[in-house]
Amino acid sequence: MGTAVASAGADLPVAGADLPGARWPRARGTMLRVRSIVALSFPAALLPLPTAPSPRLLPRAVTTEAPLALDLARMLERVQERQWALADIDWDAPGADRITVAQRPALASFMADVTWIEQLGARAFAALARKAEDPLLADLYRYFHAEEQRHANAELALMKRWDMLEDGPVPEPAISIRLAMDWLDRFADTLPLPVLGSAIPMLEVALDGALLKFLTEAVPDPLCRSVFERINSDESRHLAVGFHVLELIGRDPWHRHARTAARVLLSPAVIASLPAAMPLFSRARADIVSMGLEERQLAAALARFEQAGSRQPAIRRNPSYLVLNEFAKMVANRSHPYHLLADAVGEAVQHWPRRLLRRPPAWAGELTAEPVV
Amino acid sequence: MAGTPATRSPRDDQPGRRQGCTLAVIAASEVDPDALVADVVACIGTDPAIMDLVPRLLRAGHRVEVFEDRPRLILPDAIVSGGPAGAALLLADALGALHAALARAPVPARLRHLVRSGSDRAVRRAGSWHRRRLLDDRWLRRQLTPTRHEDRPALRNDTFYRIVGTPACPLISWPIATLTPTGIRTCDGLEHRVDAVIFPDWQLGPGAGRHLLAPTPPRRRRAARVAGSPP
Repeated sequence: MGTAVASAGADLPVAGADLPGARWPRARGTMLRVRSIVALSFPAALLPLPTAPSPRLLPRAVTTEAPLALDLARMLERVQERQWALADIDWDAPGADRITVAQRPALASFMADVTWIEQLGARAFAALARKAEDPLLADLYRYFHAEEQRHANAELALMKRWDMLEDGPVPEPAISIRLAMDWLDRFADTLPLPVLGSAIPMLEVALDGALLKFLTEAVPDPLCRSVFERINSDESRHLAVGFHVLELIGRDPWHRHARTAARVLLSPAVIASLPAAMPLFSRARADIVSMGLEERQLAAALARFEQAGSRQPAIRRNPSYLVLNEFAKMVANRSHPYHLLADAVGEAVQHWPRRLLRRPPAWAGELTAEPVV
Repeated sequence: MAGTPATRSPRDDQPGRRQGCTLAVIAASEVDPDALVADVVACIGTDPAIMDLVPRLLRAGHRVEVFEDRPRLILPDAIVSGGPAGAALLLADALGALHAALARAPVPARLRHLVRSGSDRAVRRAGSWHRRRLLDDRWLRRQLTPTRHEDRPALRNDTFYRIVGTPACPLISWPIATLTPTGIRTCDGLEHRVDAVIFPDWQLGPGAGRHLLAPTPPRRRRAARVAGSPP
């Protein structure tokens, strides 16, 4: 299939070659050779097959694609205007006693995981803020980094309200989260923007579309609903920017995708991610299913990630998106053979000696349930 | 506000004080650390005046919180004591001088560009080694690393890195959401209770303290975010 794609690409007309700034004819031979290699490795990256004249074959400067829908300057203003603080919330409001004894153990473990996962998201946004070439986008990511930290703080404050912080001011992270923390601390800043920029929306759709909505419905405390409505509102903005960035990345010329793919495959981050990511997703999935979330709800939430690619074909040109989309589908489908491996890795990780872990990174210590410091 | 003597009491006639507020907003040039009556002082941004002021405030017994969400390039004060960073700085200076000399010489533009970019890289490397030498914590070092969009001129200072991040002088790197009558709210959802907020002079003109503490319409909270550009 890969060869067929490559040869189909070779017969295409040289669109835009006579336009100013176009360097296609000189580089055509080399690019076709590289294209063939990429096609063999990532056939999906080259789909759908272009019809002449294809914007994909044009240099970036002469692309004919429609302008992007999201105005980043307006989004930044909106983010700045809609800031909220823990001090805006009355943490002693009635309703904390509505958590039943039966709910408490599962909810405590789940909330601890959600809190730490928010902080992992914050670290990923911190890495994105350094990667973004557009200063507006970098600014947005700086705010999103802080907002994810705020969500983690708010969720910790909810745990405090429900008397779930028995072991100290902050719950001990599960071993799978500690491994993910170590992995992010070591590799987040080295991962290319397309990888992080594709992973974040996938996690956001799961968080925004399934976890947080489920929590709002399942937990009878009215304050929980109010807090998660604020969090959901923030997450929807993160998601809007995430999809915008996915489209932006998808519009990159294909040789840039190939370069990114090569960088990722040659990076130790990929191998190191297996013991970090697989148990994390397995645990998160098992937690929410044990809390009562139906698998179809999770699958429906993750389907939004796939729909983004269907609506915007440019997004599907990003190999990281395609790989993560397949991965999301595997995670959501419990009958997929992937879970045999994930369960085995998750089981092995449970026996990982904590003394072999590195010291928790300093950013993990920024979590607090106190609205005023 | 210009010319107002430094603060005497945390309750009444501090510059920027508004009725019902316990927070004073002061320009850096107006602060006398010994006369300032405040337990916790917030210093906003990295500016030469602020960087000079922070050690003096600490010596005067105040707890200082440095709010810096846009890190700036800071280089060693002296080439001799700067270690590898000093050597890189020396190289950067030499390349800078060579670039200036080549500006009038009949040499290819490409060569001039190479010398210029070499000088820039040496400066960034000097900043990196300077941080590595003085800041032990990796995350703190990262928080103080300038982004690729940072275009303010570099500063020369050794003291700032020695004191920032210590318990007496924590670094708050979250963006500021707004000022409240009792402190500063950052975008991580926390409110930092402080007694006085010190801004660089260029950010805080005469009377600006009152403006910052004035109630703002809910949809325009961003106005509380101090705008302006460095001199």
